[in-house]
Amino acid sequence: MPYPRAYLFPFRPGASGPPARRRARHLPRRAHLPVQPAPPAADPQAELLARLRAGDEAAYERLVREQTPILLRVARRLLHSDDEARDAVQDAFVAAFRGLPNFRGESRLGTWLYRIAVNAALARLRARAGADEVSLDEWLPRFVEDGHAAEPAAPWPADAGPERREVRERVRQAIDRLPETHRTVLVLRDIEELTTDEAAEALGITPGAVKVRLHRARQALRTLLDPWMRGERA
Amino acid sequence: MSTLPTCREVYEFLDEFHAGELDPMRTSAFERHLSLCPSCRAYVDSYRRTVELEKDAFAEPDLADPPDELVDAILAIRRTAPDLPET
Repeated sequence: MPYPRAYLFPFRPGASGPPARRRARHLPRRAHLPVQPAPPAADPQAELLARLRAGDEAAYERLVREQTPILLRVARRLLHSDDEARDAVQDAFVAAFRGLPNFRGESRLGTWLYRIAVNAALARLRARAGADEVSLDEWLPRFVEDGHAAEPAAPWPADAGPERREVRERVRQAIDRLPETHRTVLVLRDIEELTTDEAAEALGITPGAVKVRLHRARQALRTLLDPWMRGERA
Repeated sequence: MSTLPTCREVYEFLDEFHAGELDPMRTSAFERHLSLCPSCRAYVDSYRRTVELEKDAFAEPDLADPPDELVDAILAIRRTAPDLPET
């Protein structure tokens, strides 16, 4: 979860607080010096939160403008549909506005919104009728009785050959062929870089199930890319 | 997997090997197998590259500006929905 983490520690711990207050006590009081200890406004999140809770329209617009690109990106990756991603982001903000009075600031506002957006996108995925009827078993490696691979792997050339744009397109198409339950884990773990526990919590499954699905998804994807990466570009 | 693992075991524990989560004894057995088995070496390398390709396929800069119509729609819902905190 590379982007939301940027919200976690945006300030150096101890950059404000007691030392500054001690110094202020020994200085002659002047009108332009802060007389209140460590005002909450020193933390942009606390300031924004206070304005949101006060119903400040400009604060809401700032929040929506700042966060929408990040939320749209994860929603698109999960839903692979621009329209549905927009709907999911809208769902997420509505849920967030509703939950704002109970937001206790234990995580950064951006992280909290990100989680809500992931859940909103996953809810839309679950609602899709007939989803996940594909099996990836046929793309998993097979073995003979003594444990050797039934089809020995051949190396992929170090230089993939085709242009990066072409490779990216091919990889996206291959990911889209995976069953939704596995594709979702792959997106959350490898692309969004959530931890196993974070992905498990978002999906409502055990960390063990996340690990199994991730490994199977990567193996299936590797099988799908294999002929092409070895030069069969047809 | 204290003795030399089979190819099946290499494939099975590959994700943990890739993530550096195997204990030292298993890692060492895993590496011994790889030094002897070109097929598994090729598989492990292509698995690692698959993960790199996934990340690259979705690497994209964030939108500099969010779509105005989406921002407007979200803000309009907030202003008009009766059960949302009011301005």
